[in-house]
Amino acid sequence: MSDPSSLIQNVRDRFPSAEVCGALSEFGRAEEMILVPLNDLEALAVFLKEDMKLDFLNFVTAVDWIKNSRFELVYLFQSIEKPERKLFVKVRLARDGGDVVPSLTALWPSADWQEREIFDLFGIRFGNHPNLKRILLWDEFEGHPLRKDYAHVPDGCDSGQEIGVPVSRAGNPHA
Amino acid sequence: MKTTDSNNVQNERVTPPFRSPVTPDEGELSENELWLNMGPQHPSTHGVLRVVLKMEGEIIREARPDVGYLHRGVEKLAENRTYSQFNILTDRNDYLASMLNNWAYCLSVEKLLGVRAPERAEYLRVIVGELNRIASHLVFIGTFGIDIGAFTPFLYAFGREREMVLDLFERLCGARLTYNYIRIGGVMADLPDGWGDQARSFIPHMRRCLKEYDDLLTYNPIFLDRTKGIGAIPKDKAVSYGLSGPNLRASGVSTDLRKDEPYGIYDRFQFKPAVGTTGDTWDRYFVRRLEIEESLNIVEQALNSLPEGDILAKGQRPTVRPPVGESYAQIEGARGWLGIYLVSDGTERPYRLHVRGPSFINLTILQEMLKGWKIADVVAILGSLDVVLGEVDR
Repeated sequence: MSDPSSLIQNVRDRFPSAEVCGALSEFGRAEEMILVPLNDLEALAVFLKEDMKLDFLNFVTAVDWIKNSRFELVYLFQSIEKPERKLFVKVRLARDGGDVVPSLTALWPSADWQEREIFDLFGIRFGNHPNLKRILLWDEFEGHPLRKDYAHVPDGCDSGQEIGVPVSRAGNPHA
Repeated sequence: MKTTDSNNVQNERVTPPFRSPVTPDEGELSENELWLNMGPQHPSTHGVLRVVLKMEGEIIREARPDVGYLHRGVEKLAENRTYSQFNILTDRNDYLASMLNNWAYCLSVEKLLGVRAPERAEYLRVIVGELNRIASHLVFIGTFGIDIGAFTPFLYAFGREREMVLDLFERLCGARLTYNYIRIGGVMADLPDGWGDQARSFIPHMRRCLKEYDDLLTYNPIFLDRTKGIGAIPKDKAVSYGLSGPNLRASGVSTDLRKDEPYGIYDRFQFKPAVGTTGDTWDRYFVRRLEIEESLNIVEQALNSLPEGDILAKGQRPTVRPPVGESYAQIEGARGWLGIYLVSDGTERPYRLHVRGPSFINLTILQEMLKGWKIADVVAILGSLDVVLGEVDR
């Protein structure tokens, strides 16, 4: 069981739609990641937690692949007793905002704030999240800064030039 | 005498520009309840954390932490900086343990590049990393004492012993807080003359001082009354809430990445991860106090076996251009698992960088664990989680 390839094999036996999608660079060896369809994410999470004993949701984050017009969510599931047992899982969703990702907060409360952060900075929506509000930015903030097409509206505090992102002149009272 | 104009200005209603996501509503209260705002400017929040508490008398019925006051958009900044430029910004995440931030980031870039730091650099990383962990825990011991009402340990831990570590770092790299010492492929500079002896003399001094802290704080009856049995986190809850580092070990899980998933050269050192039993506020304090001892042991071993050699990988240049790919490196930071997830598109700037900040994830449990405790315990519980808001908000 400690062999990571057998972990991936177990997942693929149970979820035939899961495929290996690239690997993380790890000095001399590669840590394989799997890609699952959005619909399978929740069932996979339950399977990993209950059957595979990956009881620790290490982190959740998102990547904006604007050229392929999709977002990718990256999850790292890990065993707390044996941290070398881990699995990177990716899901893809359309960038136009139609897809809703199932929230893992009920399984791992540690997902609560991380999903809020992704919602805040990427605008990705999570279904069944108990409190899906912005977390780092304030309610009136417009846009989602970690999107690659984010244009900063100067707000009197800064011009936007300092951080090197494109500046939007529309709706700017200070322009 | 005031003119009419200035009176007009004073009478103008100014709407607050920012509404926080946790803004409480009077309608949510039942009889005997009230909303109490704590922070963001409050000495016990160790930065700018705001917690809105729903109180029934002295008892907390609901807690809504409000974070983001220090948000600087570090992950966005990374996308507009070269790999080497960003190293400087990692210092600012967890500013009490900057060396460890540098280390996690450099390790992640090195994994992308396939470059390994030379042997001597790995030892230097362990030495400065563990010294920084000690300095960070000393801040915790000092400020936690103040939170509870013990002022003296602060003068010793923060003002005396931590200064000695900072002096060491200042001699090594010129900076006392934001070091930028660990670089991609190695470290910035070799040890100055006599640095090793200075560090060696710190070790017995620190061990003596720990006994002093025990007399002053650890077994002080007032301190025990305020911390024993308060805010206990059971093991399964600690895991499901993603706690890591000393907070997790206090709840009885012995996992320490230095031991269980060794990075760098940690498999060469003898040490025992500190573990608590009940996961209460005192355990979280005591695990950190024990960790200082273990870190001293590691520093001692590393100083004794420090090899000669290069401190930077051969041919390593400041401008790096990693191949297309992804990497994830995590280390045992002073506050828990500190991870950096990197996506490279083959240019000299990261396509995406994510910081798995242990403080941010450790703080998630606060809203749950404050319920049912008294207002006086908030400070003890929050202090024992030892979050750094620079890392929470990033």
